[in-house]
Amino acid sequence: MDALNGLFYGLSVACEFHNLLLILAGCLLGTLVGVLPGLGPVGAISILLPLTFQLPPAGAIIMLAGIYNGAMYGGSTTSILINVPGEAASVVTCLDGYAMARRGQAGAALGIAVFGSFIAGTVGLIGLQLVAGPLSTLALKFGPPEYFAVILMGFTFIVYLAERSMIKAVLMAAIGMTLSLIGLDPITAQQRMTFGNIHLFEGLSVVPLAIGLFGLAEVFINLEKTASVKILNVKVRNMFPRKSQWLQARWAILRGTVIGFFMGILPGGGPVLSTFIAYGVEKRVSKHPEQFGKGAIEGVAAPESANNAAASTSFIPLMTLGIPPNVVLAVLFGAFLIHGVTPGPMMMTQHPEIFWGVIASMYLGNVILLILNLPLIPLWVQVLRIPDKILYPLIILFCLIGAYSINNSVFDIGVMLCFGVAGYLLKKFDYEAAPLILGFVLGPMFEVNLRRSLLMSQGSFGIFVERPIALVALIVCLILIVLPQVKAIREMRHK
Amino acid sequence: MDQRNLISSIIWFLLAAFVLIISLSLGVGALNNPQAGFMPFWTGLLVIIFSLVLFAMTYRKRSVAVRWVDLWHKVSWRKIVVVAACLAIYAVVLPWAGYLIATGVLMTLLFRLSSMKIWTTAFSAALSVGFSYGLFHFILKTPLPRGIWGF
Repeated sequence: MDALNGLFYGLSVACEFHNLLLILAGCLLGTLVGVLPGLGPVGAISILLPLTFQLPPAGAIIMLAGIYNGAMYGGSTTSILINVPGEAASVVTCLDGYAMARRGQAGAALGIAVFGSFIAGTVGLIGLQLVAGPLSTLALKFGPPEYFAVILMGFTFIVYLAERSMIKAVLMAAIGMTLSLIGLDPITAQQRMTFGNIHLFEGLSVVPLAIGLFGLAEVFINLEKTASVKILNVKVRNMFPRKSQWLQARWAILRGTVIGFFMGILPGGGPVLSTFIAYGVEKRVSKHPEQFGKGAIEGVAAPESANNAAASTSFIPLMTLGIPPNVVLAVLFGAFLIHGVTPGPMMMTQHPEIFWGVIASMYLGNVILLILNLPLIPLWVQVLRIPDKILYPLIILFCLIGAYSINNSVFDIGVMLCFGVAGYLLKKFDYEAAPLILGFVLGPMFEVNLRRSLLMSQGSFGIFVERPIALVALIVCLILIVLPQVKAIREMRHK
Repeated sequence: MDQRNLISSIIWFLLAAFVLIISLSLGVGALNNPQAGFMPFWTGLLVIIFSLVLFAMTYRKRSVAVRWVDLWHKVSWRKIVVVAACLAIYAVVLPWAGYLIATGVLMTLLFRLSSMKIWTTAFSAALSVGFSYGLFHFILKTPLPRGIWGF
């Protein structure tokens, strides 16, 4: 099925009345949770996932995609109004967004964020639609060596692009991979690290782990704070940017879209990194860089556009190769599996209604978010005013139900609690949880493909060099490992 | 030096050493026939190596001084301990108490911990339990535990 016919087919699925309702519900709920400081798309998907269990697979995944998009939109609201990012990809928006709000331009900041997100998100989806088909066809030629090499490249990117320490990122990824090994060996069915506990025979479930690390841990971090967040007491009005503001922001939106488009495809890149790069580029090319950090509209338009373009294109590796490129999609990957859908090159042929339905639903979701988010911003502001003493117990309640309802097991509540405490301690000790969950999700694929490759080659690593795609991926890994060392040596010589 | 890194690298080292021992008991196998212990062995080894690297780098970088006791200074860490303990007890009693009773008690404790007045606490707990039960049990058909009381 070509891209255009696929889109029409997808629209016929997405425009069914119940699916339209699910898109609307997903967008609204995602924005609602995304507005809450710290929770972000991972927390939103983890906590809201139980709402999708009784839905058919297509509807469930359509709703989850809506939640993801909504959470991305919602994150910018808190960045602009209270200088606290709703999620990691909105950190940069705080710099100029809050400054604009303090100058009485909260409406314009929110408006440009929404419009920029819409334009960039739509471009990203067009890219997803065009690239998905050819990439899926290519991916059918992938064997275990190619998959192993691409996943290894993904791990290397995750470490290379780590926001803080690369060594800590490696540790987290390796620990995540070790945790994924708990359960029955996929080839020999031997028990590994189960200690005779029947609940561990199938290994740890990604959802309680993610809810713990990103939902409960965030609640703990907020509970320990002794000061409450101050919401700027401004009237949010005039949410349509003026013509002069549009003219100022237009190139920033375009550049942010291009940056986000390509960063989204890169493993470990994604929305977060794209926002930092887009902001940096805008500041560099600006005729008035001194305005950045003081309320430059480009400082809001570029990262928000990059953010949403990356959010769309990051679906490309997930849906065509079955490899989640970032932590949000790693959790979404787990959600796909729970609903009996295996993302990958076969998804287009085995589940075309889901593949094209999700793409079409994201187009519709973008329109819904544009239309609804502007008038609903005063509502989201009120959500922010809900006292913490009401909000956090409710979030804990949703986390509990979310963890329990995966397998109707109290054991999963225990897992969520353990990883909630672990996630809290990881933040205190300055570790990022994202590489851990990526290692956890990619670990089983990594292991199976490595062992199969070694069985095929009778123990020879030459198999990875003989296959062109695998070789290219390994060369990229080598460059990413060597580059920082070369940079470090140069810096030492300068000193 | 950053005590957080020193402490965490020791913890990772010990955990990885444990994983390594388990992997050897499972059998690592050979490259042409990797066994169940193959991946745990190599991931354990990777963690050991990098935890030693982190320890060594932190030890050398004495200019950065972060004491781990400072992490708990001027923060309400006791609240977290209490909440975590409540959740642990909740997980234990949930199967026999059932969702309604166990969650009702838990929510009451959580709202009370937030210094809410007693009547507001009771009302908020009842409302949150009722709403969540209605949403998940009746609308979404999620089977919530009934406990020994049958509800």
